[in-house]
Amino acid sequence: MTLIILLIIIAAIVLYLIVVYNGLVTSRNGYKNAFAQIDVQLNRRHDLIPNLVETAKGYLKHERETLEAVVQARNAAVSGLSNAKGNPGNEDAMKDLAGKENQLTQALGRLFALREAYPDLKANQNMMQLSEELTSTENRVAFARQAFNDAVLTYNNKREVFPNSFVASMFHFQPAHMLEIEDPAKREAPEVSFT
Amino acid sequence: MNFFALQKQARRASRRMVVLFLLAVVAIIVAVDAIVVFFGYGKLPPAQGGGLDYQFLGMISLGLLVLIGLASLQRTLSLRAGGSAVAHSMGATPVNPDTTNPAWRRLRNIIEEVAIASGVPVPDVYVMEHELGINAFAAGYSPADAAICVTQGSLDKLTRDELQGVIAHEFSHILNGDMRLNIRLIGLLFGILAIGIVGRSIMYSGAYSRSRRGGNGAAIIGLALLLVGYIGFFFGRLIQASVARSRESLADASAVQFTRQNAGIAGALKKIAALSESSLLQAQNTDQVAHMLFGEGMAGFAMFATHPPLLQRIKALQPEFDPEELKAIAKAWSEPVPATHADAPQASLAGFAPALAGVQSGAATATPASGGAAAPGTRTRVSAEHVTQQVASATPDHFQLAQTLRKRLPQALTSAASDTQMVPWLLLAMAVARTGDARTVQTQLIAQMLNAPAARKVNNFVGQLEKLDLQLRLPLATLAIATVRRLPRSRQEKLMERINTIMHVDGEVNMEEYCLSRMVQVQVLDALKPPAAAKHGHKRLRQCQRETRDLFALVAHYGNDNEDCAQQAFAAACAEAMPDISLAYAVPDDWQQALDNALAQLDRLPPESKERIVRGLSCAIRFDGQVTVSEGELLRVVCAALHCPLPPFVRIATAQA
Repeated sequence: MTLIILLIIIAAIVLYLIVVYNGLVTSRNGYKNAFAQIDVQLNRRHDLIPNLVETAKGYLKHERETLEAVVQARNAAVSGLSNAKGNPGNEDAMKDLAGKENQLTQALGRLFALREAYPDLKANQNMMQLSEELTSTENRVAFARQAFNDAVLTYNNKREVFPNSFVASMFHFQPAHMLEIEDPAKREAPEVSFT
Repeated sequence: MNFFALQKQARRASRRMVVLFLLAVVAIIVAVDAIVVFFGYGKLPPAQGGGLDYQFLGMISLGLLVLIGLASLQRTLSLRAGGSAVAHSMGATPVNPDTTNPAWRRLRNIIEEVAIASGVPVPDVYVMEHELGINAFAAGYSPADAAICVTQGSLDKLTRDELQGVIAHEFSHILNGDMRLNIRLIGLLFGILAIGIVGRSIMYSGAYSRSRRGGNGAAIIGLALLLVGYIGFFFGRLIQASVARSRESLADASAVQFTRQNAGIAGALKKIAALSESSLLQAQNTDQVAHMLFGEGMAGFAMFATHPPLLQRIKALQPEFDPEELKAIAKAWSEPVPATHADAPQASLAGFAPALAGVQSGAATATPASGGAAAPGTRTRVSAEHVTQQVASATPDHFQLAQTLRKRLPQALTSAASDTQMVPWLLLAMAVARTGDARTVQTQLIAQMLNAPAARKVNNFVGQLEKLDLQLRLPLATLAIATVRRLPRSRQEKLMERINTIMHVDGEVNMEEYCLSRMVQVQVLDALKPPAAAKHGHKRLRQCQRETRDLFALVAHYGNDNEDCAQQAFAAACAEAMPDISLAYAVPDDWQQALDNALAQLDRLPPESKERIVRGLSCAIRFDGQVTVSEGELLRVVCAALHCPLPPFVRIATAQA
């Protein structure tokens, strides 16, 4: 009799472990899938930049440094992305990617700031179109990032609550890290508002 | 605002409404049965006990159910055509994925962005090119065959952020299954209406039938059906409208969730509320999509309104919203001008910008936490003490503010302001009116006094200044004046002469621009004749009654839309500055002359008297309890002309949301 009870208890525990394990795996796949969305949009962003530089080159003959900075930042971001794709949620990979994307955003910000001094460039049809595409892509990245961060949050919550935490540490479920890219819309100097 | 809680609440409310609707159908059937019984039908013959004939009543109820069901089904099926079919029937033009029209390209981009945010497949996109109201609708039965349709008015008047909010609202309708719910409700409603229609035909056929006895009975039953049907329809419409309204609140909440910002959608709502085109549609079939629209599509009774009142919606999104804001928006957007460049933050999708440069749309006045730029519509509370205390006393906050203001000045303008070659042109450009017919005259004058390349340069600056935030004009002028002082004397004099000519043209010259030029003049003249610029004179305030009156009257007149308010503001200012003398309100005819004179004379007052003037001014300006940015800047410029420098009375808000 005790044996049967013992067996039932063990079976229940194993069943419980399986449920928790599967839940963890599901949400881990969830955030990995969410990263794929970011990957698509970041690729789109990186693909736009060579066109942008090509268009701007004709007008910005004396601003070679800015253009080169953009190209370099773009190449760094491409490598950061391919690195992060391998292990989304990894803290170092996420921080590295975020840092590189932020640098790219800053370099682009400088390039766009230059437009003020070159009205011809600003009026260029191609440039206007590219800047719209870039704005749109940055929004898409932001939205995809929200989804990814939400998925990471769900996973981390699931991983850390008691008693799931035992299962998580038993099977080495690593904590996932959110991707925190600066919102390009917020790159301006602090705004002023009335009291 | 917790949008999850809001969503839950709205969903619960609409579920209750659907239950109510089904109960109404049951009530209708019971009512018809009751009427039948009341008129003596549906009872068993006395031989069988005289009780109710349940079989007969059951037949009637079943018949009614079948009637409602069939009519609903027929109507529902006719509405179930895909979103594209609905959009076509509204006369909309499809926007293809490879469109080259920049505005349409941006629209598609926005829709694709929100699709990512909401996780819904990208719907077909349409534009109603003949609709000038600000509106949009989602159509279709399920997310897979959905279409989103936007009016031309939205493209003309909404910024990118605002349209993003509108689109997110429509996506919420798609995602929450509102389209399906609405089609079902319309179907049920039609089923109820069908009872009335059937009742009417029974009544007529009964009334004209030959057999008197049976005819009477049929006529009575027909009348009963007619009444129940139409009364039911009436209440059904009420419930339907109420369901729709709760779904709209849900959609607003979801839009905030998708875009993670409330400024965009609130800005769009404000523009609808402020502009005369509103959100009304001209199309014939508007009622088909009325419940899926962003704003009210048809004017009508509030009871049947498909959307909650606009102000209530804005308040729900931004509790701190002040309806006064709408006036500034209305002023800026009733006659928009072409934007100087398409990706300016305030430019609408179709490339229009607000008429008054520097006026921020609602979107820019984000929640205090996210700290938007100060728009002239933005209001603040300033007391006379507060203003006078601030004269010539800068705190660390002010320096920090100065830094940010400096940073926000476009590079091209700051470098021009520090270049001795360019600075005269820049100052001339600053003297040119931003709007109105005076501007053309002034441009012609400039063309006469300068050679062609220089005039072109000035025009170029005029264009750049147009986009400049109002708050940045004074700092820019200050920078420029420092440079002017380094110019040779002859050139300074020449510049003053030219500014003077441009300032004093006839026509609509904005008072604030005028004062700015006036301040530039005063300060440059000070530099020209340092001894004459003794900071304070010994004139008595009593001797300057006329000047004080003119200045107060002009400022009161400028700051208030109606004369009554202006008069009261004037009285308040006088009471503050000169309590013992009573002055009569009168706006001088030649205000430029009067203002020149007033500023010149008042400048010669001793400091104590100047303080009273500044107190009076701030009293006039904050009379309505609030100070707009343009009023505030006017105050600062007047103070500067009186040699009482006033730091910008604003506080730093960090950009973190």
